[in-house]
Amino acid sequence: MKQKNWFKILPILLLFSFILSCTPQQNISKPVIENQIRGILDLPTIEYIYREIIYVGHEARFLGIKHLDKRLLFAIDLVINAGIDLTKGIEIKNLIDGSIQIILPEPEILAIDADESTIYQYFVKEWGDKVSHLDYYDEILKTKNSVKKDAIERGILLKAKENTENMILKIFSAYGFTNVSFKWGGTVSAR
Amino acid sequence: MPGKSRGKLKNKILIIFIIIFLLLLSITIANYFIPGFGLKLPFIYNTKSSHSEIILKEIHKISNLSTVEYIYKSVFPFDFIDTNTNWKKLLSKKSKNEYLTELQQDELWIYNQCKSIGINLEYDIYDFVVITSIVKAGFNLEDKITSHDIVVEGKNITLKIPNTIITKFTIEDPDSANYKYPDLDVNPQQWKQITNFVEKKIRIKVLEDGILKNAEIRGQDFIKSILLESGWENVIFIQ
Repeated sequence: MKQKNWFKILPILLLFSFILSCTPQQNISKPVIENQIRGILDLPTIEYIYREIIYVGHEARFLGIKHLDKRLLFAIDLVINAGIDLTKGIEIKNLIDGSIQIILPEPEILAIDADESTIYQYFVKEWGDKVSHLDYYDEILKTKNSVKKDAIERGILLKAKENTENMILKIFSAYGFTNVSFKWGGTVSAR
Repeated sequence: MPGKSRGKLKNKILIIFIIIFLLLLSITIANYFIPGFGLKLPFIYNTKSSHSEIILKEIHKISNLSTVEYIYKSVFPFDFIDTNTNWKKLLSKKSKNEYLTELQQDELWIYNQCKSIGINLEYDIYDFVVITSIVKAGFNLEDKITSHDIVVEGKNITLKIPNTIITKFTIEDPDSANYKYPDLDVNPQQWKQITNFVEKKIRIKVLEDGILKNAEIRGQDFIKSILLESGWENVIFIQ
C-alpha cells in the first residue's frame, strides 16, 4: 500500500523538480531593468554624418539679355541622430508563456545639426543680385529636410530599431532571458 | 514466485525513480546556490552565470553594433585641386619634361580630365560634378577580444578594444531623381576614371577628418554605457 502511494507521488515530484529546474532562476526587478534600458538608450542608437554640397543657381533673361546670374556652391557637415524618444515611455510585460515583451515607441530622428564652422565656399557669382546671409541659412534649412528624407530612405530608422533590439537583448541575456519580444507601436517582432 | 519477482521489479523501479528525483533536485539546488556550478542537462534551463560575465562575452558582438557612417559628397574638380595652382607653369614644366611631384602629376591628370569634359581650369569655372561616397567605420572585428584584453578588479574593468578601421567604402551612382546639381556631359568611361581617382583621395580625406577617431569615441561610449548599466562601476579603455 505504502509502495503504491510512492508510485503516485513520485511522478508529481519528478514533474515538480523538472519544472523548477526549467524555470529562469534569477529574479528580475522591472524598475531596475527599465532603468538599465533607459540608460543605454540615452545615447542615440545610430548616427549618420553628412558632408552635404549646397548649390544655389538663379538665372534670368529679358528679351534674350541675361540680367540675373546668381550662383553659389558650398559644403557643410550635418549630423543626424536616430533613436528612441524615452519621454514617450517604455514598458516591460511578463507574458503568460513565460516570455518577456518590451513595448517601445517607434524610433525617430532625434536631431539634425548643421555645423556652420564646416562651411566651405567653392564659388559665388553675383550678377544682378547679391547672395545674402539669409540665403545661406534658407538653403541650410532646406538641406536639413532633404537630409532627413535621405537618411530615412537609407534605413536609419530600421537600423535604429535593430540596434535598440540588440542592445536590450544583451541586457536580458545577462539575466538569463532569451525569450524576449518587442512591440513597436502595434507590431510585435519576436527574437 | 511470480509475485516475488514482481515485487522486486517494483522495488527496482521505485529506486530508479528516487535516484532520478534526487538527482534532479540536487542539480536544481546546486544551480540555485553554487555560483558557477553550470551542470548542463538537455532539459535544464541553465541561467546561473554571472550577469557581468555574459556581458563580457557579448562585448565582441556589441562592438559590431557601433559604427559611424559618413555620407560624403565631394565636388570634382574643386575638392581635388589647389586654387593657387599656376596651370600655365605646370603645363610648361610638363612640356619641358621636368620633374613633377606626385601632387603635380595628380593635378595634371585632373587638368586633362577636365579638358576632356569641357572644363578649362585656366579660367574661372562654375561647372562641377558632385560625387557621393558612403564610408563606414567601426571596430576591426578581426581583432577578437580575448580574456587577456580584459582586466577585472572588483567593480572596475579595463578593456583593450580593437582598432577602428574603414569597414565599407562605396561610390554611389547618381540618378537623375536625386542629383540636384547642374548636369555635365560626362560619358561612362570618363565617369569611371573620375570616380576611381576620387576614391583614393576621399579615403585619405575622411581619415584626415577623423572618421576613425569618431568611430572609436562612439564605440567606447556605446560599450561603456552597456557595461555601466550591467553593474560595472568604472570602465577604462586602453589601446
